[in-house]
Order: sequence, then C-alpha cells, then structure tokens
Amino acid sequence: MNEYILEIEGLHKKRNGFELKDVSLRIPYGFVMGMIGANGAGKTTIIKLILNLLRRDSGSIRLFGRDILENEVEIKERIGFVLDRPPYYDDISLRANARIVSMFYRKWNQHYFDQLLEEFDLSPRKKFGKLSQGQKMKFGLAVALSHDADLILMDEPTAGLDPVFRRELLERLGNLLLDDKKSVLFSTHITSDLEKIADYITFVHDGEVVFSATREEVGERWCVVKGGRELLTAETTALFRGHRMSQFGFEALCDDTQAVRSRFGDDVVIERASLEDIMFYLNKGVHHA
Amino acid sequence: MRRILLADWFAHGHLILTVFIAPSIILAFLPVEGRGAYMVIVPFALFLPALSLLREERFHGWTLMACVPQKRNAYIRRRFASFWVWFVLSMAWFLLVVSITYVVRELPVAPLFSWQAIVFVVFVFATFTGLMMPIVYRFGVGVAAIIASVVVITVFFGTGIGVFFLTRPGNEKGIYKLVMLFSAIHSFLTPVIFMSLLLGLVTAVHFGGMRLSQRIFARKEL
Repeated sequence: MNEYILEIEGLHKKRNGFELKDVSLRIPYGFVMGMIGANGAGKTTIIKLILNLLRRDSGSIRLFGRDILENEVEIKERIGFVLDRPPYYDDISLRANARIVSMFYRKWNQHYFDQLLEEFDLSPRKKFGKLSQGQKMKFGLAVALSHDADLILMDEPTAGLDPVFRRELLERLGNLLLDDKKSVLFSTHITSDLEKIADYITFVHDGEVVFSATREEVGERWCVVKGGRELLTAETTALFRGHRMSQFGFEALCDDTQAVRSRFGDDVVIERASLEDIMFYLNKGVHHA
Repeated sequence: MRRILLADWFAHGHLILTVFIAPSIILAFLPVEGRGAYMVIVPFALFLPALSLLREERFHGWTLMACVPQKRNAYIRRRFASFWVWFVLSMAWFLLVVSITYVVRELPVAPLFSWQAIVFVVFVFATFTGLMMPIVYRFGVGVAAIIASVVVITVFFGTGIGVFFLTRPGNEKGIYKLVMLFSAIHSFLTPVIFMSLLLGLVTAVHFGGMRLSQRIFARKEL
C-alpha cells in the first residue's frame, strides 16, 4: 500500500488574477493535516482541486495512490467532505437530504448517521435551511462520517462554531484517527485548532505553500527574533522572512533558528514562533524573499 | 426526494418549453418582416431565465452533485429522466401542431391554430411550469397539488363552460363567436406577450449578467 493517503505535486491553477503556484504536500495514512493561511490565500482552491470541483492547470493529485481524474467515483466513495458553505438542499429536511446523499455511497451507515444526529442534537425533520451555521456544519460532519470515509476534507469547519462545539468537533476528529488508516485535511485560520489536533501543518500564503511539515518541525525551525535597531542591516535582514520595527528595536520572523543563533548569539532574544506569529509576519510584516 | 423529482418535472418542462419550443414555433409562424426582431429578442428573453433556473444552486445542488461519487447514479438518472420525457413530448406536440395547422388552414377553427394561439399556449404552460417548480420545491408536493388542481380546474372548466354556451344547439354562430373570442384574446395578448418579452429580456440581462459575474456555478468560486 502507498504510504500517503494524499500526495500533491507541483499543482498549478490560475484564474481571475489569482494563481496557485507549485503546491506540493503529502499526508501519510492516519494523520491530521491542518492547512492555514489568511483569507484568499488559496486554501479553498486547494480543497476544491482535490475534490475535482476545479480543473487543475498542471501538477498531480493522487489520493490513495491514484489520480482523481482517472478514478473519480472510486476515490470520492472514500472521501468525506465538509465545505464552509455546506451544499445541501435548503428547503428539504435533514432526513431527506441524507436520503439523497446516501444513494451515492455503498458504505452508507444509516444507523450511525441517526446516532450522530442525536448526538449533535439535530432533528431529522428540520429543514436544512433553518439550521444555524454551526448546526449546518454538524450535519455536514454527520454526513461525512456516515459512509466510512478514509479521508475527511474540511474547509473551514470550525468557522462560526461556538467554542463548545469546536472542541467537540476536534475531539471527534481525534477519535476518528484511532483507526490509523483514516486521515483528515482541514483548512482554518484559527491557529489554536491546529495546535490541538494537527500532526502536520501546511501554511499557504498568496497561492504558495510556505511550508508543509510536522508541528514539531515547524516549532523547531521558525522563530521570532527581537533585538536592537542597530542589528538590522541589509545583511541580517536577508535572514528574515518578515520584520517590523517597534519603539525599542525590531521583531522579525525567521525560518532557520540555528542560523539566527549563530549569527547573533546572545545579542537578540529568540522565541519559538507561534502559528499566529508566522501568519502575522507573512501577512503584515515587511516581507523578504 | 419526491419533492425534488417533482420540481424537476416542472423545471425541465419550463426549460424545454421556453428554450426549444417557443422560439422555434414563433420563428416558424412569424410573418417574414417581423422575424428579425423576434429572432433577436425571443431566444434571449426566454433562454436566460430558463437557464438560470437550471443553474439554480439551491435547487439543483450542483456543488453537492460534484462532490459525491455520482457517475451514472440512479438519483441523477431519475432527475434527468423528466428532461427527456418533456423533450420527446414537446417535440411530438410541436410536430402535431404544425401538421394540424396545415390541415385545418381552410377551416373556421384555423385561428385556434394560429401562431399567436400556439405562442399563447406555450406561454401558459411555460409560465405554469416555471411557477410550479419553486412552489413544489419550497412548499412541497401537497401545496403544489392544490394550486395545480385549482389552475387546471379553472382553465378546463372555464373553457368547457365557454365552449358549451357558445356552441349549444340553437346558437349556430357560437363557433364563430368562439373564434372571435380567441381572436380578441390574441389581439390583446400579442402586445402583452411582446411587452413581457421585452421585460423578460431586461430582467434576464440584469440577472444573467449578475449571475455570470458571480461565475454562476458554485464550483467556479475561489
């Protein structure tokens, strides 16, 4: 069996002035990958390309070792999806919506679906359009989990959810992974969600993958450097991915902690960069190549 | 499920009647001098609203259908079966009407098969199916059945009663009165239909443009 449940290599997509450039990432079986980035960074586009809702310009997307373009039906049987705008029918009940969706999946488990609706406190007789955003997400999740999917794709699943259900959702995803063949890819801009359950983190910025690595690797490599203004020269700036000036000196983001340590020694304060720091400096700081 | 399948019947009926049948009939029966304007106006006026109906995300669930494994699925087949039934029936009806038109050309009932009458009938059905689609989808089969019954009963009984009184024994000229009645309706309806087409065109361009600018399909969104 292939080692990776999802492999993306050199993915390109250009449209409407937006370009997804050379995206590559891999998720091994049994792991959770969180995809983070600002709004408009390209997270949703990547998920839509994986689901073949958009046609890629070039590159490859392999799920379960096979290309989705050639094995779309078989692959989609094994994918559960939760989109940020759940695509179910507004004016029919949850039960009727589920009946429609269930027709497409050979492994649909009605008993488990009913059980999930009960757990999520959703009435099967209620119309989908009458649900709150959080309830819609719950329904989407119940559908995604009810056909024994091996890979769950979720686009901003926690956006608009209350903290209680956000935690519940993350715990449920964690439980899902007790089966070490199942994996999850979810996009978010809530960094704390990733810190709770993601094994791998992929950072997308302006259509490019800045990094795709394990949480530990990200913690070891990325740091925030704080020091006096006199230390910021053209040469030292090249070490940083972004910086900002403050009243007392500079603060900069760096993706090579060792290099910074050997260049500055004890002249600067080096702190482990949080995902929020990385997002902030790449989006708002002064950028460097 | 039942609701969606029934709504499909109306949606596809509306689509077929407006997109294929009405313009072709109009073009076939129009006087030559009027064709140019109609050829431009009619297809656009009818096509865009019908197309927007077909592309209605919340009714058709395009994104959902694109996300699920669906090659030759029973659900898809059932949903699109109504499209082909409408298509075949409409084409058969169209051929029948054209044949009858030539057969009855010399008879007093000829105005019943004039192009205005045919357009009128198509418009009634296209409007009816177009209205019923959202009613079925939004309110369910029961409410739609009541509305449909009222419409059908009114139209059929109304027509039946009219025909009965106008053509009863002793009223030899009844049939001519009936013809005159239809002619009057046509005279009134022709400008109404034309104005509706213009209004439809403006609306269609407006909403069509809006929709196109939003990339129409959910799957095309970033």
